[in-house]
Amino acid sequence: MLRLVLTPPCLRAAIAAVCLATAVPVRAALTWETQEQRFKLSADEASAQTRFGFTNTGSQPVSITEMLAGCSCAAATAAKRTFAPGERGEIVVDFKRGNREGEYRQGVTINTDDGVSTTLWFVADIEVLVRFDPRYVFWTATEPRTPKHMRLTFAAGHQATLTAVDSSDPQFRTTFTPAGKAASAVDLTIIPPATASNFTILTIRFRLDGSDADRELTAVARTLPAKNEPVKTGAKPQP
Amino acid sequence: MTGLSRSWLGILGAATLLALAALALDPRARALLRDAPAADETTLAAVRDHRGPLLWLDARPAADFARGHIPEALPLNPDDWDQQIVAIIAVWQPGTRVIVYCDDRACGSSRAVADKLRREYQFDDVVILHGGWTAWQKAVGP
Repeated sequence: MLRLVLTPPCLRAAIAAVCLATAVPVRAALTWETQEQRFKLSADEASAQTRFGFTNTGSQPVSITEMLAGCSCAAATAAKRTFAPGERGEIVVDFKRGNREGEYRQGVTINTDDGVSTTLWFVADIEVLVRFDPRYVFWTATEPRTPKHMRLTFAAGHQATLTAVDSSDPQFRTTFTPAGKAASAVDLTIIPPATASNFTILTIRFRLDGSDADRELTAVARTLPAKNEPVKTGAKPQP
Repeated sequence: MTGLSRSWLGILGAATLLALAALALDPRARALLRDAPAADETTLAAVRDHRGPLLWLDARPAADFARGHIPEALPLNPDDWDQQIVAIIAVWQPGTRVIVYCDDRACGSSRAVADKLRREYQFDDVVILHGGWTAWQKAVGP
């Protein structure tokens, strides 16, 4: 009997079976319908929800052990944690935009007890209510102190009336156009002090779409010190 | 080559091909291959070699920053932007390499912060730390 098992054809077949078995790793049991979702938020919306469906296509029950979002802006939940073979489930992701705007991409990591870690991605396209171009103007030590400009463009379908611009450092002066009437874009001119290095926070007050309520945004202007003054050097990892 | 050797080679070849095919289909392997730094990312090795001023910015929530952060990093996250940007502006100068990080590659806040600094604040050299805080902790310990 032993001779029969050890004959070259049988031995080769046995070794081939072992090679085949070890060559094919165990497939993940949860099969996802999609691993990326996209959604839009208007400027007035504070939150949104998206869903990721999956099915347990394995032969064993699978349990979700962890759902981790890498920001305080997202929370992932599931109606239950363990899914039988063939069972469908969903991960629900609640997103709170906070002060985020523009395109925001975030991953949510799902860990299961079969040792698989899957990252689900959502992309929130958040309407930008006011686009600054730019939001920070500065003058280097060698640059002439000529006025610089910021353009504020309001989202499509919106108009605003600028009511005031306050500068925390009165040595920086500002003017804006148009003044006193609603527009889809406003130009702000910042006139720096002639000498010294200064820093100012500009508080821009405006009323949106005919409302009586003032809204505020901030921008910054600065005249930089000379380059031979100490600059910040960050930490480096030690080898 | 004897018939016996050809048989063994055939088995080995078939097993190798199957293993490579399974590897290509395995989502864990694909994830590893995808984990190369993006064009706007830097690695810790590149940071060690950088000559010139650096400014670390931590884009994680305030509570995470308080629990621990890269030495000398300043916090700048999307939720507390207006309060935090002032301290950044006060220390930044053109020519400073700004490195933004959050938890790991799944965290979108560092990219949102980096994009805003380039677009609205005209910072000329902003990159994202590949692997984030997790990569720093693995390299230097807690």
